[in-house]
Amino acid sequence: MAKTLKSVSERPRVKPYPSEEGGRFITRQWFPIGLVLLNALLSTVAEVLLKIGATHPPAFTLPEPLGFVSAVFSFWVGVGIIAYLGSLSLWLVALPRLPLHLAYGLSSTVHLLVPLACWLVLHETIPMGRLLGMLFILAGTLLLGFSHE
Amino acid sequence: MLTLHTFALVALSQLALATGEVFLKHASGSDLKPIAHGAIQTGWYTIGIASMSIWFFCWLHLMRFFELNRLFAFEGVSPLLVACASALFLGERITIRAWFASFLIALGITLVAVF
Repeated sequence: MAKTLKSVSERPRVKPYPSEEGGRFITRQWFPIGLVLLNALLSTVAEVLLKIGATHPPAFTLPEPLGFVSAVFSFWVGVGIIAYLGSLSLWLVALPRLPLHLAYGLSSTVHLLVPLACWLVLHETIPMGRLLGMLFILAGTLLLGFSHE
Repeated sequence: MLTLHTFALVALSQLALATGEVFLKHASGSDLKPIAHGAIQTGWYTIGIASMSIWFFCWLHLMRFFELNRLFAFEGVSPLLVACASALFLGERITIRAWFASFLIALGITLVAVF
């Protein structure tokens, strides 16, 4: 019996999950959470740069049927691709340090950041119906991100 | 404007993105599937990267026809496809909450397509 009690007391403490520690988890994991949020921000920057690049004529145009590849010769598309690679690198660094569902849920903030950037940087108009649709998509992706067991 | 041509490209891009993610996940292994090694792993990675490249070029092409805020909303399809593909090919479970989330995303995309 004594041996059993001893073995229980010596059992290594299981690393708590987010639900067990609540806010303390965020304080302790601020670095990977920050990386995922920075990844979302860089993805947004990349999307905006790709959009600017896609709507400007490229420096070099390939003949058809390879015409669709010409856009990669645009300066803005090049910078956009670098931003995408940067965001992918941050994602790969953060992923082993966070549960997948949490990382995926946090990364869905791009569905909020991209429309905001479209409005602020590209001066696009967003009708109310479309805005409502975007909010449904944001809610859905967040819920999907946190629905893993 | 959403025509049959652009709709087909949106569908192809999201299908390619989801396929790429599933193949990359399959190559790197999961709790339910062991990590593949050697030529097989390289093959999965190659298919994954090729699919991602298809997504990238389709996406870049589509950006010429749509406002970014409208086009980006269609990215909501990929989590749905990934969830379904994970269940079908990687043996992962889809919860009731995930089905409800899928319904919200589908409703949101319909609204974005209409307005």
